Amino acid sequence: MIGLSANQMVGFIAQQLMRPLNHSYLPNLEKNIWPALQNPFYDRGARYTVPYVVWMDGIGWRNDKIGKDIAGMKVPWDIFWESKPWTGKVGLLDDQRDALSMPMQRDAIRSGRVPDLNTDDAAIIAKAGRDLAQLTSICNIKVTITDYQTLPEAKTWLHHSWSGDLLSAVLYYLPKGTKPDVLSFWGPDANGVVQNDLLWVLRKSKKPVLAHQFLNFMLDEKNAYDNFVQFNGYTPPQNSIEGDALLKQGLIPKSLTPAILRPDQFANNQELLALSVAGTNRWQDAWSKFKAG
Amino acid sequence: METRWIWRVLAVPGVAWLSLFFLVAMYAVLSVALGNQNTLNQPLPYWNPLDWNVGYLFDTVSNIVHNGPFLKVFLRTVAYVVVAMVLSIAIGYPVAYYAARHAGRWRGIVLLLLVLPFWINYLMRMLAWINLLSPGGWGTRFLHDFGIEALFEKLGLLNQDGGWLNGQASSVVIALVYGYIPYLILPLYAALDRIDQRHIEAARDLGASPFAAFRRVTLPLSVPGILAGTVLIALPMFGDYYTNDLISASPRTSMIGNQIDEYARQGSQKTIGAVLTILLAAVLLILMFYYLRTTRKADLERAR
Repeated sequence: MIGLSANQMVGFIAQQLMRPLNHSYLPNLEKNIWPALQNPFYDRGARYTVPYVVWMDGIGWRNDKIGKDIAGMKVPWDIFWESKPWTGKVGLLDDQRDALSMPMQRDAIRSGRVPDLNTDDAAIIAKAGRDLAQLTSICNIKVTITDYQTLPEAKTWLHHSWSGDLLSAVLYYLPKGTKPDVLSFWGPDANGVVQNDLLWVLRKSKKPVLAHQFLNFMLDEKNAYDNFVQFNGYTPPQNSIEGDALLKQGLIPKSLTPAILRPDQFANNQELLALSVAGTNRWQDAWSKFKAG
Repeated sequence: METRWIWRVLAVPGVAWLSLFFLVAMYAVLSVALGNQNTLNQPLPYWNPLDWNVGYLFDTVSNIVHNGPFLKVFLRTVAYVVVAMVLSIAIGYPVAYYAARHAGRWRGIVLLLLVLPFWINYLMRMLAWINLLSPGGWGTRFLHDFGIEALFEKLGLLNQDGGWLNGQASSVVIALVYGYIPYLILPLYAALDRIDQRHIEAARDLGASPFAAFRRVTLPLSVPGILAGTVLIALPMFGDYYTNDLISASPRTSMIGNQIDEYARQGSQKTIGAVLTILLAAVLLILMFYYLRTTRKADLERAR
């Protein structure tokens, strides 16, 4: 199976859907994958999962339309609260956890705190919802996950983005005549959101050995690179894939090297994890209230 | 007697189909809405009516009654659907009227043109609108060149030149009209086509002007067609969420369908999604009863 993230794992394990992995079939895990993800905190000893792709939450923008050094701002997230001039061209990720954690990060940077992006605290969650609601008044923000297409086509100019979307944008969605370096990305070095999709095997799989071989195939250096460049756009956590090398290859412009997540960033940022039932409902209620306009 | 029996048998597959795929599905939604959630936040339907839990229903109704976000979205949805219905009738009635009464030998082609949109998937038509209404798109240029854009800006329905996709309520309503209007025109055409020409001739013989004949004969006789058409488009419009998602995506234009989608498909509280579905169905049921009552009354008057 492809496409499980760490915050869904608890439920899957509780429902006994996942099969423990046999690492003797997965030599590429140790050979190619970031050491930290060979023994991640959410799945000690990679007992059930191997990593597929990694990404971070950040800001994607058209630097030919937005004349600001967003990466150089003291609090880059502030750009969304200064986006009145670009009303109608500003987007927010249509995902309650990612979106609500953005104003939480902004508050934390402003006050010099480390945010808890997996908080259950009703007051913090409600404030994040109210902060997002301000964006509706400021720039009539659009709530979408199509920035990989709208940014290169200049239908949006500033977007709360997953790093992989900017890479997809430059790899697949640039209109003819548009230069790749019109796109920029910034993501925090620490205390922001990082995520990874996982590969795993169903407990009732009828061909578990074949499933393991598929996982190992996807962890192969060349296959992972091809899957990233030709199909997916999201970076696999392979030791061999890093921003400067991709820049030298001419695959991505310098303005998008920050979209290639580094192991140290992965370690210093936070993953969005499963919450308590009450906490989950608080996040959803705040999100629903914001989306009601 | 024998003929009546055959028709009853022939109705069985349709009734069975509806029972299985509508009533059973609706009961499932009701059981989720009046059920609970387990410790993993998964819905726990209560199939036995004796066990039904009205807590989520009361919470949601209370949110609406106490001016919570659901009320705002409900009212916005009603406003969009009413405006879209009025526009659809204003645009669709003359088209249906022309096709039914004046198209002559072109009638076949006109009907073909009316049916053409059904050949293309609704989502594809909406995706096409995204390109048409993008800055520099053909649609945007047309609206600009013919002064429609300037008119909308003057009326406060558009925030800037070429800004049709900037989260505008007007764009959502226009897209709803575009998407659903064929469903209004066809029953309206059928109703207008069924009107006995002799009624109109009688009105004219009795001294009515063409306009008076239309107002006093054609229009009243076409009311069942208008009602059928409006019911056909109002029902899907009320539950629509993808038109807003594709054309606007702004929270300012979100409709009740978007909230249902948020809760039922993406979120952790699927029970609230089910409750919203039931409440929306209850509102639509009122409209449906009004439609049935009006058409029944019209049938009785015709039979007299």
